[in-house]
Amino acid sequence: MRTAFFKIVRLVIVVFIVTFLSFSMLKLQEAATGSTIIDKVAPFGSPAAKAKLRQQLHLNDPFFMQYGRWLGNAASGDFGLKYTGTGDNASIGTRVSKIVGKELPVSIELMIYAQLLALIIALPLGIFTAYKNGSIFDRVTNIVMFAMLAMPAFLAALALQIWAAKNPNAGLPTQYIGVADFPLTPFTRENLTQMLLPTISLAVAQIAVYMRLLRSDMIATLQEDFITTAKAKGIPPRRVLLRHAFRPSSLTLLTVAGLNVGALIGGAIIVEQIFNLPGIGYELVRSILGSQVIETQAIIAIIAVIYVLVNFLVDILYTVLDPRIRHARAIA
Amino acid sequence: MPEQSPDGGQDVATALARDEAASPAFPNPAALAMAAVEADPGRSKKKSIGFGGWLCIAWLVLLLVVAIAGAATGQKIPGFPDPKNDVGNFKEGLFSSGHILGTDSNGQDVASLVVNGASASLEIGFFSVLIGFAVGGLFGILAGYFKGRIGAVLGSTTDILLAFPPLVLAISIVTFLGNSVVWVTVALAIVSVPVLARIARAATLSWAEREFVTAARAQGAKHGRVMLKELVPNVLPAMLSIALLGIAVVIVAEAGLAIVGAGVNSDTITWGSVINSGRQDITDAPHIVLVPSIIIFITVMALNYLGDALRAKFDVRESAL
Amino acid sequence: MSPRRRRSNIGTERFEAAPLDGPLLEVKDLKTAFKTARGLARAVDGVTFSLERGRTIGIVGESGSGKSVLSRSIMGLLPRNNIVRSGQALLEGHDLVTASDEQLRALWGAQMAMVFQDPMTSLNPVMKIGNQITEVLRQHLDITKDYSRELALALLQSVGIPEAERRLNEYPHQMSGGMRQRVVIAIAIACGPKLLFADEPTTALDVTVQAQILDLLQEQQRERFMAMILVTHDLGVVATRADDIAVMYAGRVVETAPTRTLFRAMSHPYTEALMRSIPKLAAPSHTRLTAIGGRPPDIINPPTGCQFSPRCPYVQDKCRAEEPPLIDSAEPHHAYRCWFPVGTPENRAALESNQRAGVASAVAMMGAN
Repeated sequence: MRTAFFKIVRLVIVVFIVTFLSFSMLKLQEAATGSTIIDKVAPFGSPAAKAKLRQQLHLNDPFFMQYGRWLGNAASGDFGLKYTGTGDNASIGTRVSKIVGKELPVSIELMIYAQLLALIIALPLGIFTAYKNGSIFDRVTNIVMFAMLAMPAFLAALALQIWAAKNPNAGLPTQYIGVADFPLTPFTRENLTQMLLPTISLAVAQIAVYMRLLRSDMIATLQEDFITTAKAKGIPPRRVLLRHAFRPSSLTLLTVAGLNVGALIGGAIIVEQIFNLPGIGYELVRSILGSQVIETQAIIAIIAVIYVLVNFLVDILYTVLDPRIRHARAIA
Repeated sequence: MPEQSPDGGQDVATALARDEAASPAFPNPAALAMAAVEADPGRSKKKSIGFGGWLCIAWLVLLLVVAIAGAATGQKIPGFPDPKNDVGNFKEGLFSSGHILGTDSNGQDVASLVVNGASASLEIGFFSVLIGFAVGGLFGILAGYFKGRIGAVLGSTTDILLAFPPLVLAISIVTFLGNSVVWVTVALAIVSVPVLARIARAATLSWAEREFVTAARAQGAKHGRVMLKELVPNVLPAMLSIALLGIAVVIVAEAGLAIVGAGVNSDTITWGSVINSGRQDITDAPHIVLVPSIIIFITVMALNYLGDALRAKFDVRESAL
Repeated sequence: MSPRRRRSNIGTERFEAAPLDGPLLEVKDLKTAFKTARGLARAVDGVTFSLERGRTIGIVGESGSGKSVLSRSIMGLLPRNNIVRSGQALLEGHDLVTASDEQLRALWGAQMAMVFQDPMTSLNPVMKIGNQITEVLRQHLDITKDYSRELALALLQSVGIPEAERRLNEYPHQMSGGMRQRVVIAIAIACGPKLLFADEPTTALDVTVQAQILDLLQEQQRERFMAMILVTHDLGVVATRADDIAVMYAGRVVETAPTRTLFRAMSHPYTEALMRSIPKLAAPSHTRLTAIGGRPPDIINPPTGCQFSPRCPYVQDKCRAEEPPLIDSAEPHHAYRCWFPVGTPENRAALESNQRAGVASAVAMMGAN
């Protein structure tokens, strides 16, 4: 219980610091480049609109008050505006929360698809190659995986894009084609068509990571005494592999899968960019290119907080799954 | 808690695996995640790096020579057309006359772009990992050695840096602070600090418990001396093998930054900038994108291979326990 | 008759199918070698013995004598790919050496089971104790989940685990080494095997619980009329618990005899050396224990002649040249491999000539005698 409490306290502190850093970056930029937030978000605004904007953003307040206000608003779902107007209308824009609400699901869908695909391929492959350690199949798989490990998501994405362009018969779009109801409903035909290539691009390196990790972990586990015990009980190999060897090995896999979310987010940003997929990474890049600093700041904070939460959940899950850790921590 | 002790070793192992696994913090997670993987049993037995290893070294030496030439001539390597002023036919394919790797949409020689881009790409890769190595190594060793307050403070600092998805952190640093080669290098260095710090800390934690360290302490050696003489030599191999992978990851990250528009400004040619500018012609001239991508791919493979070999040689996982 | 009773009977039918006459296990010239980079390592090199139902044979030897490999080889637990086996191991007439994995799996846990050396590592760390026991029950006996749980509880109680009900839901790391070994024993005896291998079952345990575990094994063995192969490096362990003893050296049985006979009239110098290394309560305190000098021979390139000759205090030229066969002694069921057996005038003469010649191991015997 005590550890759970400390974990939550720690989580809250980290969230505070992460949001604080995201917020301060904007101020740091002002100091570093000399151009104000107003110049960035409303370069073509009329003086009147700029003054209004200044008031709207409370830029005259002390720094910590600004942060507090920003955090309070963010907590209630208000991340400010993406400014779209010019001249006198420069203080008008779209709510960032609305944009994010529409685009975050696309990114999450993409990442879940990629994780699923990676695990569906990596798990059986990892278990089987560990079981057949040293066989020709194992060796060939290892060489392929070594190459896949070195393949960045952007290379996979670009290669798939080129392939799709050369093979239009496959019916897979090289770029996202706008459809009315985005985010798409998962697992519909149209959704899968649109998401297939981005998913594969993102999954390629993950497959290799998970497969190699699981394989080496399983090989180590299969040499444990308790595997011999299970064998000596007359348990069939399939059950020995899945029930006895896979479970302890899967714990490391889970940790890495959790830590990989950071990499996955990075990969998703790049893949979304290449396939023009309107996810949150794509929007982040748009906001950077459009100097929408308020929006950029909000998206970075949102991504960072999601990432912190995912890692927190993985940590909890890990504790639940491994009885040794569960008890060691409960006692310690 | 005597009943716990038999599993204590296991817990350390898991902790280290988690710490090492924490390394896939860059856009390409792959390379560093493998740090958690025990060296391939087949390969670890071989002490020499073999033909493949020499091939990797040859490739990296070639790149290094080209990169130094590029840096020395200000990205105008003699024998290659000046990539910024040479204008040939637009979008010529591979093996066209005079342009073995074709030209891009501005008529610039792709071979020249890639060769000259090597200098900036490798510079960014090398220096950011060097900074990350020095700062992260210092942080990690201090945090692992002084387990008390200093350890807690340094540990939390690393954790907070790790709380940002790496590419997002790099993007924000570059967009908010500047997009010169220096800033991109700094951004990627900041991203690699926590990763290397965690590795160094995990290795230090395990080494600091060993008898010879205790013995050195008992003989009255000062903290600084113990760290320098006893810990650094033992922690370095683990860090070096990770650093090799780190360079690979940073090279990929640079390209990633370029693709999302947060790359080095247009004054400098990098592999990433070539890839990004080629993206608009991907359907009719895919080679512009593919040539630098494949070169990155080969470089990453070479670095991964050597990193693996180094880890197997120093038996990093085992010695770190 | 309740349905679960009927179901559990299906499991016991297997036992009735087997013939009841003849020895339970007959091992004939069993050889087991590992393929290594340096060549074949002959871990078990022509072992022959037989075991009657309900009896215990102690297999004794130093580490590296091949005794653990022997038990795993009989049971068929060694990995198949880098191993060469020959000879026979007949369990009720069925050869285990040529048996398929499928056939062995039907026997493992059901007809023969093993108690392993280290209870810290031989239980699955992420599986509840209860499930590790019910797993083997449900694998071999056609019983319901609830009934298997009842059986598991009864098993835990019978191996002397207090609060067995609670322990069912615990993980191995929550128990002490001795308790874990009791669980391992419960798993091994769960399906009522006829043959139990105990591979150094107490080596990894605290001295204080060693005797308890050995007593438990003996008690269970008698109650369930199991035959047991008790593998140990400690002659003292088998002295009171085994009916017969086979002393192994370098993969061979160098002396075999009923326990009483062996302790009364040991003939092999290696057995004698093992005996000297047991602390005796009767001896005055601070009596030096005699360690056996030298090391077990290289099993990849074994010495010619008698395997023990390099370390033997009675060694003669004949020993170095010619390997002694298994010679039957005057005592019933007693056989040994030695040209100059302990206690004979030839042996005495050999020792004296060696002491005169200054052979180190023989000179060391002067003080000891």
